[in-house]
Amino acid sequence: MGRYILKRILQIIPIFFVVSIIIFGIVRMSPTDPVTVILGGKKATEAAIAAVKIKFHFDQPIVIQYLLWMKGIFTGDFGISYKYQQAVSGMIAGRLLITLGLIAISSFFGIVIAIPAGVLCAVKKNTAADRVISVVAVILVSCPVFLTSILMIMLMSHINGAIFTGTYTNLAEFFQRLSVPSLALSFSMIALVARVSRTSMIKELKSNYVETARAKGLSSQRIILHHAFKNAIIPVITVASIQIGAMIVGAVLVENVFALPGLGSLLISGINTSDYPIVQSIMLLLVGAFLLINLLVDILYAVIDPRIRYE
Amino acid sequence: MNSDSIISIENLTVNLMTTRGIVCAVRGVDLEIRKGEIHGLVGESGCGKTMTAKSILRLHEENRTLYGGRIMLKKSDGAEVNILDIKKKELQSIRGREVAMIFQDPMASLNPLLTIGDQIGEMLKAHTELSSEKIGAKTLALLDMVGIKPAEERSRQYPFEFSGGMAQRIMIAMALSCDPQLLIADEATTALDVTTQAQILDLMKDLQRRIGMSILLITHNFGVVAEICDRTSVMYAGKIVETSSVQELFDAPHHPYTKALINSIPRSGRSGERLVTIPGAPPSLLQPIKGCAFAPRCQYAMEKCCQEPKMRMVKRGHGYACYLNDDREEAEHDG
Amino acid sequence: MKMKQKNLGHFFTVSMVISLILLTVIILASVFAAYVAPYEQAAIDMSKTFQAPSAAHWLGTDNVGRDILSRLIYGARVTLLSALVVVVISVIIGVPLGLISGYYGGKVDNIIMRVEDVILAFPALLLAFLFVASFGKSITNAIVALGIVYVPMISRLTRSLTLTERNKAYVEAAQSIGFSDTRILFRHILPNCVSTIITQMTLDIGYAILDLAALSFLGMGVQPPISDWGAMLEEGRAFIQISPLLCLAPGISIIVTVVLLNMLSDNIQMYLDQSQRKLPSFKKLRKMAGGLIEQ
Repeated sequence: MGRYILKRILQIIPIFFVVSIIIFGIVRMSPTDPVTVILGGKKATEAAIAAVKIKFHFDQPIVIQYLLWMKGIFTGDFGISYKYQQAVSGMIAGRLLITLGLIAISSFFGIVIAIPAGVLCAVKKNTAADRVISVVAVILVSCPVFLTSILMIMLMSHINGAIFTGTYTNLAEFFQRLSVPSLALSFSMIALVARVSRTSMIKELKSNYVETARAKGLSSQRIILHHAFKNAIIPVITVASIQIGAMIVGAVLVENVFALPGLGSLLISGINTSDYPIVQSIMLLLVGAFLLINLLVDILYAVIDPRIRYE
Repeated sequence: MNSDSIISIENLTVNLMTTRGIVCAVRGVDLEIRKGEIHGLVGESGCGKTMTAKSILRLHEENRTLYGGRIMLKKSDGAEVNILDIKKKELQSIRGREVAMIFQDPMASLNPLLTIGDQIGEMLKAHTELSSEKIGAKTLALLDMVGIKPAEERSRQYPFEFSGGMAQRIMIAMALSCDPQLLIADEATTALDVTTQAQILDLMKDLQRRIGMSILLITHNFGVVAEICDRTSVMYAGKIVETSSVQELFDAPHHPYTKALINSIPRSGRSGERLVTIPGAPPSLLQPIKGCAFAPRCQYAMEKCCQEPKMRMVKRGHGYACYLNDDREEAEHDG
Repeated sequence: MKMKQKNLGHFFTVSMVISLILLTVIILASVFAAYVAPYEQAAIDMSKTFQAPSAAHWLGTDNVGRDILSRLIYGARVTLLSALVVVVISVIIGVPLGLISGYYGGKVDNIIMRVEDVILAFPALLLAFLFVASFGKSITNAIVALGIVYVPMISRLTRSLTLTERNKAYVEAAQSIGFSDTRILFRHILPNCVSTIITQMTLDIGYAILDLAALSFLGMGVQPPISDWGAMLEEGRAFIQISPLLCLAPGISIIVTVVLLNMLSDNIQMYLDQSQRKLPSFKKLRKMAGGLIEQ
């Protein structure tokens, strides 16, 4: 088991570095001159320009710039914002928790609502309940997350004036502010995970070992939960993890619509103002988070399925 | 029901809904399984033998299956029940406990994510009142009995760590765990190589003698039938065409289909001869069949055969469904 | 003759027919937008802002008096075309990669898979954000970025299909006759994979529509004066209290189109994989069997 985990970690590290090179490279390919951005478009003296170049390491060769950036990432220094002239890490810190909270709560909704729904549909295949849920699922999947968010805002404003902006001083406020946006973010995941759960469960219920279990005289409950479900959950985990990755991007949209002070809205404003240190760092952070989630999922597979441990 | 039978299948019909229409898989089967006998059920692929066997445990999908007739079981407490009629709960108490079943593909029939010890143990837990310790001990004893050693270590392993033959032994251990009266073995050795096949058959014969349970052995292989069965029923197109003791089946088959089957078994010492086959193919079970189903392929077919022949009994437990010998018997009667 | 009819009957199920007809209507309307739309896309008329649906304007007008229905139809053209280009790009790159990867295996396969792993490390829209951040906001950048991001999906699908086909007898036969690898790949293996690939492509067009709409919504996709459904949603956002139709019209269009594409994909899949077809209910079974039992 330990060897398996080690193997996976070793596979991810090179990917992480290649991704960082790509992010860095593409940003550097931009036709916009960063110096102009930093100086705010005002005319500047030669001396001022030179000073900027030294401060931001533009005078160094590209490779050095990249290495400096990477070193900074691992020591917590994410560079200096072009626009705000302050440390990016400080700007990120405050917002990180909100985005993480958004994704975490959405994932929770996604799993806790979708999997039981999917299993239920599989067991009660083709009944009215199953058909209705399937139709709802298709519609949810086809609904872009920002549209869901807009509609939810519309709805919420008619109800007691729920607020999404404001302070996040304690846990209660945190959940209150984030619950509706998280729900909006989770709809697409709920729909897909429910669908896959259903399909997977139906397939497992038809398998030979389930027939054996029935011939053994075990109760339906035990067969469904203890036998079929364990096998059915494996492809569901794949889809769920892809969805959580997709939610990282969805969070950006949800933050935009609900005006939440998270990483997503910072990223968007960074893109709009060509503030590359912000863009680079947040992107790397998000991709890193995504890779980490994939790693955890792979470990989860090995825990559930003994065959994988022996590969 | 006769005093020494444990299962009596009476005029069983099974109709299945499939994407291509309704399949009349079993069209009126009468079968009696006696206490302590090994009863073979032979026939070509698609003749309905697995369908019949699964009906004994009512394993077909309830929404897609229509049953007719009765399957009487004499439970160990003496009560006689019709399996097709009883409620789910009673059915669950019969499955595994009174009647157990093992299947063709042992690797696919075991849950890949649970240890084999767990899989045997859960059956004991469901059907008996034994404590966990006793269940653990019995599990190890069962594994030992079927030849899986060292039982302690093996019981903690997963199915993919065993070969096909060993997996089938595990299935047998599971099936026997609650001391059933009847074991149904559905093509249990078909997926195994010849050596392993012989081992498993020996194991089944040995266990059967020791425990005294009955076995319904489903196969399309006459060699297996000759090896361990006491009596055999031959099925064709959803009906039983002949039932007899194995000796008489090979010595003096009555039904033309049985005769043709036995004739077509390749035998050593007949080299250079053409292999005998039965021309034609079994009828589709999607359409209702009129008269004797074998008539189109039968070399003895007569006009009478467009009427379904009834089972004629030669003696108790031995019968066949054909008009062929009627005249001869009538002549013997008269003369 | 009877067999053919049966197959067609299974192909043209109710849901397949509905999805095909409605999708065709949408596609034709967008292609012939100039003829179908009652008004010009950019016809501003400040005297007629925020009108409710009427005979003159079936879906009403927006904040600068433009006819919503016409904007919807012209927007459809941009949305659908862009989504199609994204999928075409991903297929042109992805299918050959998948074929090569699956057929040759070994080092080539490894390299291709590693490259795709890197692409897969980017959650879908993030790469698009990166391109736009660097190269500027335009629909072209968005389309290229998405096209690249979608490659692994199609490529891996093709790869696993190729792996299955590669071991089949007809491939061995073709190899022994001496056909070139390219010929085997494109003339023998590929046709057997086409139907599954088409199912995935249909789904991908749906995903592309959603992703492109998201980009336009954030201002990173189409740029004014061109507008697609995502951009319309962004514009209508501010006025949602006054006239929700500005948002609902493009929103529902997106939902309906993507639902239809999902339906189409499901139907193709159900036709190909016969075991998934729906069977009649138990009551019907009793009725049908009743006739047989009596005989």
